Amino acid sequence: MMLDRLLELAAPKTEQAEAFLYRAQATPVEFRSSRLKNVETVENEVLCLRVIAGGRLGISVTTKASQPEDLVEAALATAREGRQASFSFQGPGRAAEVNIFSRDVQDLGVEELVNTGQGLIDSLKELDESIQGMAGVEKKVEEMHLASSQGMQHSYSRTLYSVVFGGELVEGQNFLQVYDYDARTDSKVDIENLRTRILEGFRLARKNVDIKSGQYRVILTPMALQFLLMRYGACLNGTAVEKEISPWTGKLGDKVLDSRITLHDDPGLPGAAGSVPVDDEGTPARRKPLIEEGVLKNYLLDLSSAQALSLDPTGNGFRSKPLLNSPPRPSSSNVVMEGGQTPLAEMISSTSDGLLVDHLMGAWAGNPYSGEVNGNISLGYRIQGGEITGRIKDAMFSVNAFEALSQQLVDLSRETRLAVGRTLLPHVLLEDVNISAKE
Amino acid sequence: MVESYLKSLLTGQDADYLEIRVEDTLVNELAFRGKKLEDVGQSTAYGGNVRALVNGGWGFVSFNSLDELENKVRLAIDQARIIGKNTQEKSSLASVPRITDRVKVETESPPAQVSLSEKRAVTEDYHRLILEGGPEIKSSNVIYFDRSTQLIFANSEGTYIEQEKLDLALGLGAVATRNGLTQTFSKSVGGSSGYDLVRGLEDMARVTAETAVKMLDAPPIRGGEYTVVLDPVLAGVFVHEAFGHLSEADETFDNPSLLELMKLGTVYGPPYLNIYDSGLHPGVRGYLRYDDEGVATEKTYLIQEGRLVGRLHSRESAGKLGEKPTGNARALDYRFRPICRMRTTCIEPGQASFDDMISGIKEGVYALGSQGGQTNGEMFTFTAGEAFMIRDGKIAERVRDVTLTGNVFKTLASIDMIGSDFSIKDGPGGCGKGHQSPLSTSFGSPHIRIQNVVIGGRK
Repeated sequence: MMLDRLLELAAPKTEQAEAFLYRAQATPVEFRSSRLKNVETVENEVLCLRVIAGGRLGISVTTKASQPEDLVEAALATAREGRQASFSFQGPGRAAEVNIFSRDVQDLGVEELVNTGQGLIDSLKELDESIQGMAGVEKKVEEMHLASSQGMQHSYSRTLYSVVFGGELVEGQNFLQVYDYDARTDSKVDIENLRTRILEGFRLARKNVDIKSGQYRVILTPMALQFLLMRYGACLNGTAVEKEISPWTGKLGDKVLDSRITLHDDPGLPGAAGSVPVDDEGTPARRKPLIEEGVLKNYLLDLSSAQALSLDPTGNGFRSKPLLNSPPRPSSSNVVMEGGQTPLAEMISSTSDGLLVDHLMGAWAGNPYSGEVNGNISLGYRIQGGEITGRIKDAMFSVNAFEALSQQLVDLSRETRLAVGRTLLPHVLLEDVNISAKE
Repeated sequence: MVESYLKSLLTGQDADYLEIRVEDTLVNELAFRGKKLEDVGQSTAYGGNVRALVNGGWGFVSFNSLDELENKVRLAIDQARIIGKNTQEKSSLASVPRITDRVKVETESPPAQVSLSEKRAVTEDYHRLILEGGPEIKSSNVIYFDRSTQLIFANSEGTYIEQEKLDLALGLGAVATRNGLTQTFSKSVGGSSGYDLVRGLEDMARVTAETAVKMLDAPPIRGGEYTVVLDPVLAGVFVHEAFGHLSEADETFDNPSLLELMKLGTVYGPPYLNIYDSGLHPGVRGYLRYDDEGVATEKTYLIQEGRLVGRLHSRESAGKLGEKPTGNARALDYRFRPICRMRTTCIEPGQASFDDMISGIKEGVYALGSQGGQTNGEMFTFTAGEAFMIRDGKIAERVRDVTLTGNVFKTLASIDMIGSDFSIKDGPGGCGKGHQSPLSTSFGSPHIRIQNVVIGGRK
């Protein structure tokens, strides 16, 4: 209703218009220092209008949905200064069928969220009273409404259940933080697995062991692997390709990584937090290979970059929620990397001298297109004689993302895990990884 | 009247403490990427929140409309009560003066009086200068924003503050490529003083492009331990990451072992090291009159003559520790509750000249500018914007991909020289903590020298 009215208001003054309404209600509960500390209700309603007027693109965003006239005027004002619009807003299309709404999540009460968090906190207390437990349990219900003057119209709701859990142990000047995060559109967050991983982390990391600078075999967990994916994501971004700043510009069909690497963008991955029926420009979502057996197959494209590259949009135009404070930009929905043949346990037991790296601090920083990844190993373990012997720290992990999964790749684990809610990844074993340690 | 309405909602409620914030924000944005203008946008956000404290537990409700505000107050109290039921804690907020105030933005160049087309023309000029930086320049990345906020704060103790805020910034970025290698470089300005900040930056745009091209010829640094000299920008990031976050008292007050480590009086640096965090530096992005609990800001010393002397407090953390509130409780916007955050965090100038610092170094690194950093309390990392080797006391060849890491305490103790210069640097980024990012903070420092810093990379 609201969108129709907005498009009607915009119609006489524009060639094209597109409206996007985002509503969300979230209930997060938070435990800090092993105690329940915050219970919140966060409501959001944000409306975005894009227009093409006088051949130029304008965009305006507001939380004042009751004042659509002002929104139209603001969008027109930005269009007067905006860039030439070389693309059209999306027209009619059939949304992909995806199950992303769970009544179970919608019906979760505050007490249930509190009990889940309390259960996790209690198990840490049982392990060691001196660990300061932290947990955040949240349910969120989102509504997305999209429409355009070109006949595009979609509405859908999505639920999200997320759990972050971990703790901190401070002993003198030695800090140990172990935490992890899981999120799903349904209620099947694997709490037991999360609990086991955190408790195991505290057991294994309790003892610090030395590490000397040098080149090592390193197993990256799905969590640590995120930092390599981030670099690939930047290079696959259609806008970076359009502007020719991505080193993968013009390389569709070329071999860019090891032939054991296959990456898909999969907006239909059951339960994953990035699953959607359409992207935020109304392009139907679909699964596509990004890298297949090491060969670059597809970029991540929104309407604008697809038009500029003379390719079809891939359904990867996403907005930053909840504020919608940037226009739709290319990004992945869920990323799936295929695993290998080797069980993780065997990967560890066959490593005579190496590292298992789980968390890298600061590894997001720097120039993504050079591929360099430098991070302080904030949670990592030494493997000696096929066994984890303790925690290593005060050491820097350095790889180049392009070389890591080509020349340095030894193996991929058979097991894959949905990490941070939207990446289904194996563990990877790399060789000759540079570690710089405090001497 | 909003004032009397809010005050009526805050009186006679069954909570230990209640507050309401209402915020109205207008943002203008421009972005040039690649060879062309990318985005021109405008957004308005109106919203607010209620926060309630009952028996040490906090309830919080945020919203986009003041309709049925009584119900939202009720909900916040009920949520706080759920926690109060589970804990036997008593609420304790440090007492602060009751304040009634109206704070206006004082600026000679309000961005609201500059037309969108003029803003576009100015940024387009920088964009063009960057693209003219040579055939290797593939893209500019110029972003501008200005944000004007009207904030109302009222609490159950009778404080009522209307505060205007201005925040703007310009980032100038250049992307250079050659033979599949891409290098990026950026410079920036930001502040709360007015639109004049973003005028007259033609030289900065030229230097940005030149530097990105030069970085194509620089080899990645060899990993290892070095003596490093940090410029004021990177030294500022260092003090923010390495000590600022650790001083945020909401992380400390209910964590006995962390509190023991951060015991006031402990020596953490050389006697010539002084660190403070202040809301009072006019014109910078971290300038702030009142925090989001209605507490007046101040200049808070964290380290004086190498000794820990203070921390960054909310009313709750100050109350629990029996210390003085400092005005550091800040919220990113109406969707969030205030938590302990920095304002403008600085190392005070010392005695050394730049030549004093580099002259004794056989092999070291001069690192400038920042591409971001992170800390977990004990360890920190930060990535330099550009860097040079220092050889035999002289600035030598350019190197790239310089990420420094270390233990906060060891590194503070390893600062062996502090420069006599000082500057505060701002840009379009901001600080992140929890989900609240990017918050407008600033940092300042002289050049500093640190011994034995680990830099990542191949041997």
